[in-house]
Amino acid sequence: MNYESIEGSISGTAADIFSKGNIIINNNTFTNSYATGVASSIYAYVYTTPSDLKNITITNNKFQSTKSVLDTIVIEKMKRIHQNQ
Amino acid sequence: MQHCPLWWWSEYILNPDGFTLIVKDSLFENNTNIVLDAINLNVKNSNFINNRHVFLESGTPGSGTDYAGIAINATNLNVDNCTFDGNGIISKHEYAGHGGYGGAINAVNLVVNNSKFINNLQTPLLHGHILVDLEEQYLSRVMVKYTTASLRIILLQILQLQAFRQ
Repeated sequence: MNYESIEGSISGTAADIFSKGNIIINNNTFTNSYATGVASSIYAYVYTTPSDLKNITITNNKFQSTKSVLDTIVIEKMKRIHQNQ
Repeated sequence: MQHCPLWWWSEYILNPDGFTLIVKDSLFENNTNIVLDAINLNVKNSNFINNRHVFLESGTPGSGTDYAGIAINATNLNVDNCTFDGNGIISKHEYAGHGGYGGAINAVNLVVNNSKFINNLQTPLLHGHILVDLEEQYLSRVMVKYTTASLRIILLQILQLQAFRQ
């Protein structure tokens, strides 16, 4: 068994924040964020294994006039791959 | 820590493991590459204004460095009561196939409280066949999991590309 990303980051990802690991984002404002790729403001890349879980908390934030090809916030997690050997 | 040579950074602070760097009441303005790069970093009451990496030279797309976190690039980062205004990356090329990420902040283990993010940007310029490749990725993603609002933006990009070809 191993772990592999479902999707890697694409061109121009997350104008404001790109982060891995444990993430807490509280009481902030995000205005006029602009990315040509996915996630105009926040891209959280969650690399977890069953023994190493990560926590993401995003509360009480205000997002205004953000623009990207896809979303304002993207949370990407790992895909577990089963290998037959 | 692995770092690029000193000359690569416009404003450079090195922070070895096991040591917490505290930055307070500071202004970082108009730098052209990563401003703070550290492990264990606390930043409070500080402003990051118009720090931008701009790369418009010719070259081969899909190779080279992936730029990230022009204001702050850190592991174990705590940000409180800061302003990030106009930070980011403008590049002509799709660095290593990605084009960079995290215009203002790139982090592993992050706490951000009571801060403002304004006018930050992450904009590789899209040209020619690179845009065609990206369209295919975007469309495959949209059909699986994203919203109709996003889809409209993508379709608009495709129309713009067709107009460019004509």
